[in-house]
Amino acid sequence: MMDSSKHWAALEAAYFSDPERVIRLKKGEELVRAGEPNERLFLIRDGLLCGWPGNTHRTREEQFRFEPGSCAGVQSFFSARGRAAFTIVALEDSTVAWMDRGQETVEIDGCRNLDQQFMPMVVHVLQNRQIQLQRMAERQEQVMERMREVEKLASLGQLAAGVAHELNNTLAVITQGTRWVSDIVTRDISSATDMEALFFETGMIGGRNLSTADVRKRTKEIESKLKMSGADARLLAQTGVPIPSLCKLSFAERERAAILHERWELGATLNDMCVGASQAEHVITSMKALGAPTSDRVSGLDVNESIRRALALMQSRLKGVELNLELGEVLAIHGNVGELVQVWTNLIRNAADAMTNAGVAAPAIWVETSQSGGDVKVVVRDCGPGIPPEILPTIFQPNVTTKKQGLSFGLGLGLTIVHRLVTDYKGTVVADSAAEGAQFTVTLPAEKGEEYG
Amino acid sequence: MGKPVIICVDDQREVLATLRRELSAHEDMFEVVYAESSQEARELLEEFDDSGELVLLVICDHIMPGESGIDFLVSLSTDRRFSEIRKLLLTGLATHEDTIRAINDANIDHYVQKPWQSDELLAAIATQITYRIMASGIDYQPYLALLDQKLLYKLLAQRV
Repeated sequence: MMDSSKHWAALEAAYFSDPERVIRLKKGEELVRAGEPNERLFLIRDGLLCGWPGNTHRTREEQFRFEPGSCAGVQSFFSARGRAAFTIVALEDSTVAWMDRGQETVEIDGCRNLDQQFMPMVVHVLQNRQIQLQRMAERQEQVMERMREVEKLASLGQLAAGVAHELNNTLAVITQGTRWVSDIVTRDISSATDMEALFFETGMIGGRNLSTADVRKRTKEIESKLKMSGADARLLAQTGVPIPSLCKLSFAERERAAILHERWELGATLNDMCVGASQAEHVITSMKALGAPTSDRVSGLDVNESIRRALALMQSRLKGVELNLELGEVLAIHGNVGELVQVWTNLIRNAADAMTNAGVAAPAIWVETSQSGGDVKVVVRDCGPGIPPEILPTIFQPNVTTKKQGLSFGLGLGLTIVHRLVTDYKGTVVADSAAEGAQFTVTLPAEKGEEYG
Repeated sequence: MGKPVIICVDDQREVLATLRRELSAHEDMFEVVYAESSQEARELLEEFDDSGELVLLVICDHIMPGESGIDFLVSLSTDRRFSEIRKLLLTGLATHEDTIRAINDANIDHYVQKPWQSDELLAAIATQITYRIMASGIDYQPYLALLDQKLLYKLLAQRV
């Protein structure tokens, strides 16, 4: 038995060496069309061809390649079909030799049967096609997966915007109502005793500014200094009215400690409501930005403001995380605040999650902005375990995630979105990792026409 | 011995304030104390243990800076001094896994979601302190108004 390369050389010499049986194709010319009769077996001599099953044109990913030294027309030649299985087109100017069954068979290695002689080559070709098909199917699946996830995100963005819009109306009612009630109560209470007014205002303006430990300490002090019962002392302690002022309370007033405390509680509760409403407003503004269509890009966008909005959205996620902000003077950019908020939210959330998953005892995040030439530079840093070196090169690709299961609403797309958005802004994002933590540096070009200095 | 103790733990003062308003009736009969962190709650528990006070119930949030509520409750259930204290988890955000841990490892007695319904919370508190008071052997009479009466009679019947 000859070895395969010698065998192949013999086949080539025997069947493909007729200089009359050569086709020259210009780039773009068709060799065969699927479904049409074909009795030829082709050998690519030079150039490059591509093909696909059927007649409709396919995308680059779906094409088979025919390089010099490979054969085409294998299926039609060796099956009973007699019709081309593929449409084959020249990608470059190419030369193709051909043979058909009309040629005289040559004895090779003791065999005169054409099909037997070509069998190893046919098997090889079909195997390759199998492998290529497999890869195409896998790539196709990946693309579909990505599309599904992008759709999911788009509808999430819409959902967020819709919810934000609904909440806005409700929130306006609450904010307005709270303000009006506060005004009326303030007005009415000033016609009560001076002490009641003082307690109310302390609550209204100061809010709940004492820790539970402070309250306990004050309680003991008031009990002894004012000779009051524990229960009354505790009530007055909560109000935060300074002890020297409490000492000035008349005997009758000390008897009414409960009433005084209630006035304070009234003020503090109204304060809670105002603060709560304003926090909710901030969150809603940021959420609305998430759903904004990408076409709404405006001039004069302040990157620092977009960072603040992103942080507002993440207040509860960032509880217990030390936040270090250094927002420098930066030029404005042309863009969409919702897109920027998405970028910062993703980077910051990744940082927080990385530290939570690694059980970092004192999690901390640094966000620094500065002007670097014509670019606004934003650095987001954490003190987590950093990014594993094997993931770092592909960190911006979809579905690369180190997050465990649990409270993670991620789709593995966070950094992909960041990369896509930043690139869309003609900016750059770079991931760095060290033992002390991970760092992401985003640069965004400032608006044209702005001058620094 | 002073009044029996109920401890409320939440890092948000507005929540503690709301709880205080809910528990205004309890503040007469019981020593209701408030803590803003697991650490603070633990210190209070040590003090009460030193002075021999009876702690009935811990009402605890989960998401807090520092030690989480469930981690804190797990530590209570493994400490012989505190394992008999009833545990009520009051939280707005807990994953499925957290909840399983709360039940299996922390042996919580009740779970209330935020925002809570006032009567649901008060009923749960009544039930839990009833269990604890009956188990401790102290006289339940003074606290009758704030106990789960149905449960009380059932437990009394079992005693006989």
